[in-house]
Amino acid sequence: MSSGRIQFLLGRLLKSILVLLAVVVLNFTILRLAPGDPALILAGEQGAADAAFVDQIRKDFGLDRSVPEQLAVYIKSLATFDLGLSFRERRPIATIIGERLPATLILTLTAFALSLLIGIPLGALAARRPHGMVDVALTTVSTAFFAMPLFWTGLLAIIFFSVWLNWLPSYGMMTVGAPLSGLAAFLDLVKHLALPASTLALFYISIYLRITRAAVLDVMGSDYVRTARAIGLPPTRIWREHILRNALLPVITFASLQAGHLIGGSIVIETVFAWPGIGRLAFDALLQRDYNLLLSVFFVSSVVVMAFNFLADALYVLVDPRIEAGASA
Amino acid sequence: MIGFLRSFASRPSTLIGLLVFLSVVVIALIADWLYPGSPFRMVARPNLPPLSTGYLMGTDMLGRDLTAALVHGSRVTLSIAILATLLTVAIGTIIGAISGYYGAIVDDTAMRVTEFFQAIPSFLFAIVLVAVVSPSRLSIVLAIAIVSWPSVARLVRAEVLTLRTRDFVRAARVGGLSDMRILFSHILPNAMSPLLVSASVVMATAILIESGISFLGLGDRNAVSWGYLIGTGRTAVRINWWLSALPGFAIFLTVWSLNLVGDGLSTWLDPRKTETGRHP
Amino acid sequence: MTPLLDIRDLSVALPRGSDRRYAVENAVLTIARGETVCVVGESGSGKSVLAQATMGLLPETLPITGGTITFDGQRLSGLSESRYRQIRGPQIGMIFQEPMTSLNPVLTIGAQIDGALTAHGSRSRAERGARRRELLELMRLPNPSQIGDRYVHELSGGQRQRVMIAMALANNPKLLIADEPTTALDVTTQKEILRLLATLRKELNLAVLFITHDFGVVAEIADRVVVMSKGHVVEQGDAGKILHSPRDPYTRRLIDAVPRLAPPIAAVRSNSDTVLEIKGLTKTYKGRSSLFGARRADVKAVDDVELSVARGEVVAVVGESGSGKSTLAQIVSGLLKADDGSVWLHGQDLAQVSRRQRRRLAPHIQMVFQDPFSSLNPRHDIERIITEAPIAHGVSAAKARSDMQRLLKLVGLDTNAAKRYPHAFSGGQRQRIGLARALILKPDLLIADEPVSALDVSVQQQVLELLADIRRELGLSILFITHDLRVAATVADRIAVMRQGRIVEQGSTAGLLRAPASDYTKALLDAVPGLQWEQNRSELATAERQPSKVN
Repeated sequence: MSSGRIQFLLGRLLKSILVLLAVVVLNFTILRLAPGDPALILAGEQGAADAAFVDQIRKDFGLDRSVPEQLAVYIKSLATFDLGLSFRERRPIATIIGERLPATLILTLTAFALSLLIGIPLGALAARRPHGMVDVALTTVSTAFFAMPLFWTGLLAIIFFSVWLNWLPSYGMMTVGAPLSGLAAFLDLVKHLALPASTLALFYISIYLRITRAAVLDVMGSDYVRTARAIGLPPTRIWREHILRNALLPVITFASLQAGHLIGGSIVIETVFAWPGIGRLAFDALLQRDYNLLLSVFFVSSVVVMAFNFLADALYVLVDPRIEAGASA
Repeated sequence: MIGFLRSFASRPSTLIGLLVFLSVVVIALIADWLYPGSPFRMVARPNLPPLSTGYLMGTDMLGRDLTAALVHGSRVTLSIAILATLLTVAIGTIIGAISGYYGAIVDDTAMRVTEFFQAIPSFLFAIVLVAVVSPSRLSIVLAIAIVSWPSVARLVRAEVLTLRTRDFVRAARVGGLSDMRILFSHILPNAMSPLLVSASVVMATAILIESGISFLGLGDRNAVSWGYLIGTGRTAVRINWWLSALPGFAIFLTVWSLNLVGDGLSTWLDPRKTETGRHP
Repeated sequence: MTPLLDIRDLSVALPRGSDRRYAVENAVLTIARGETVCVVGESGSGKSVLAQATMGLLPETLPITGGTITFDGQRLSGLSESRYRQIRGPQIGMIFQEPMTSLNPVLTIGAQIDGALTAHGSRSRAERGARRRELLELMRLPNPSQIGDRYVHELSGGQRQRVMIAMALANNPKLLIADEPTTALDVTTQKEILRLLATLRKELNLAVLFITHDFGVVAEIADRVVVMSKGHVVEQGDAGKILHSPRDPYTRRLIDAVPRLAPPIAAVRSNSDTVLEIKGLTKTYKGRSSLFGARRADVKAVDDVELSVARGEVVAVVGESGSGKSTLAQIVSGLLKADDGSVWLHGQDLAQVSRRQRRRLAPHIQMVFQDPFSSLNPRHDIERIITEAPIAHGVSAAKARSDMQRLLKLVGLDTNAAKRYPHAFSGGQRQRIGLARALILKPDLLIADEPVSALDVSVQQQVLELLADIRRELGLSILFITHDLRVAATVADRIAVMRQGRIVEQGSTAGLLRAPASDYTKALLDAVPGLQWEQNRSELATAERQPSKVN
């Protein structure tokens, strides 16, 4: 890898860190902007927390000091992933999120993989004959899925597959009280994962289908595809070497941009399917007015998204030779 | 205008989208006439299934008419979506136009901020905003606009950047016209078409975000939107499925019609280019 | 002997609703082995469609509706796609206008040439490597052993076109179709590519079907010429005959419209006062550097330029792409700010005044632009386009309107054009409107930034003549930016040659053309295609009629 590209990646890394820093400042600003005593907000619903706990928070977050000092303390504690205590659970928030994060990653990554693996080929298929039968069918269906609110698709899936057909479990991550291990435990997980992951994926399949279709059509009209035809390259090779390779570039950029939204979607999905991840945690925090927990989930999600964006950048650098330091992807 | 409509709605999908969306708007406008009084009155036996006489979509566990709730809900949903769209387009256009026209440091700063808002998990951020600031219609509108403006800003900026180098804009500059005049009479009118397409996408997204927020129980309890109906209906999904299925269908139909109109608009404006994507 | 390529009565239909029914109608064309045939025509003549039809690359919207294409005894028209693939490469190769976009940006040059080799026949890896090297050497590319690892964006325009030729010739075709292959290149690069093609056709006994709009290029390379207009072949025959004594009136008009490299005899040399004086003008584009990014080198677009324009004088700034001529025009017109130096107009240094003041002074310097299709706001009618600026500068609407009517007449347009919108006008008409818009402000200096380079040659001639007329009538001073020495020679009293931001030479048009002082100017002059033809033409012209005049 050329030094220019390494510099590009380092630049991107630095940028991600700056974004995270800005998220911290944003969290802090929201807390300060919210009506009322930030200590009380952090502690949870007004009046419910005892005075000792509020004092503890005030001290933990340095709320008795000046605003810039408070910000410094806040940044320092978040940078070390010291996210404070949750009022409801009386446990460190970092621990709680740590327990919940794997479930969310399993759900979102499965959905992400499904949507790419299905959406991209379908998009390419649709673009093969624009406005042909296959294209019209695929775009019509994807336009429809694209317009469905995730939670509604989820509820419909529960009504059909769990309530009426009784094929698949509708909540949780594993069968409660069944001491399974090995393959049986894995299959149990897959069964529980099936509905939430496909619901989440369905929406993104239609997005990737549309993006891929547009990108492929764009590349198909390019001069170098004409060149490839002019040298007598067979269609299969034109597709593999020229069309798909170039069409994937905007798809990667887009996938990277979508990471944040995937996490957002998982809140709704985890709520509908009682999936024990950080999305569900955010919902619980919302119900209990545990704002420090909510803000922490937001922060951790941002970290996950940044990590994901960085991976996408690295992938981009591998496929596009034009990337050099100073260029923007 | 007639000619415009005829050529614009020549694709059947666009025509369907236009008709569906206009119907929803009309229903929202005449909601009080269709179902006078509060939609929360208990009017019939609880848990009537859809197609019961007098109660087309059935009733909930308290015997409230779901049709009335849906009709009134369209008002809440649409008003929030329209306000949020206007605000989003306004913020995005101002930031994008200034950023693209003045370039240099102004542009750099504006683009860093835009990138930041695009990078963070936007739906989660909207929820945090609404929750911490206090759930109300106003805070939901603000939250939607705050997470949605970046895409509009980027679009407008890109348009302004291209238009800025077009010779007619340079001619206006060489002619000594003022910046404001160039921006408002030469650049922005020529960026109108893509902006219109983007507005339809923003509005569809706004409906989805609003319904997501309300679904999670953060909505304004005094003004029940479709998302809120699903949120309350879902606890009883095993008994009366229609309470969550039908409001969801209303959301779907509205968002779908907006997407069809947006697609139609962009094909009509530029037959070569097609759709782009967006989020929940 | 049977011809290598034999096109008979070929017709290609246009989609419904086009301005005519056929893109190409009953076209006849033959090419013998080793022969170079140029198809010449203006835009919309159908010349590119003819090339694509031969290659089997027509889009579905343009079906062949009649006639036959026979290549080397094999009928191509109606051939299945998989059979046609066997033709493309081993039988016929093709190169295109834009070498940058015609090559895949994410594959190395080597991989793309390799793709051409593996598309036909199975050679071993080593054989392919050897052939690749051989091709790159044949194309006179530097470092043939290493250049295969490079990507398109790392090559120059000329190198890219050489790579395209290498790919087209990889499988030893008998015919090369070249569709405007040098139009996007600078003249000096164009010359190299034309020379390369000439060498290759001799070495490989290659037949060439060369599509172009430029008679100079035709004169350089053609054995035979086919002239097309609106889908029809209007004349074809021996290159010498057509170039010197065309029979068809259209061909004659087209050839007459080609500007001559000789200055007009009655050149206006004015000794009056100076209108514009540029001193020590410098503009550097800073290479962007990000926090971790490698700093890109700064580019001195304009480097210590000194230039003046006298009242009533036309000064042409000639240069290739990247010479800084456009940057210079933009600084003088106020679109860009210089880093250093001064632009004196009426004893005022425009480089020093405030933005507000500059805006007030705007009417003194006006500009005509290159692209007729982007130079008029599509949403405004012609009246608004022309009168907007004067009204903004305080002229009453009634006065502006009467001025506009006078100017519309002056530029040769009907006054009822005022209420119409730009899309109703052709490219040439739009340039006239752009000229009226500039003139209504009564400028002391008109900057013409490549005003005819986007126009077909016949329209180009009309616009140039109009400029000459107006200049004489109004005593206008013009700074004329162009890449084309022929055009510069016909319009300018003086020429300044720019290269890499500097003016390498300036002098009277006649003097500079007759005795160029710098090597670069010599090279530029030498690269003008069709010089020999030009000379014969001039001699004929002097012998036969009055010296060229602008009417």
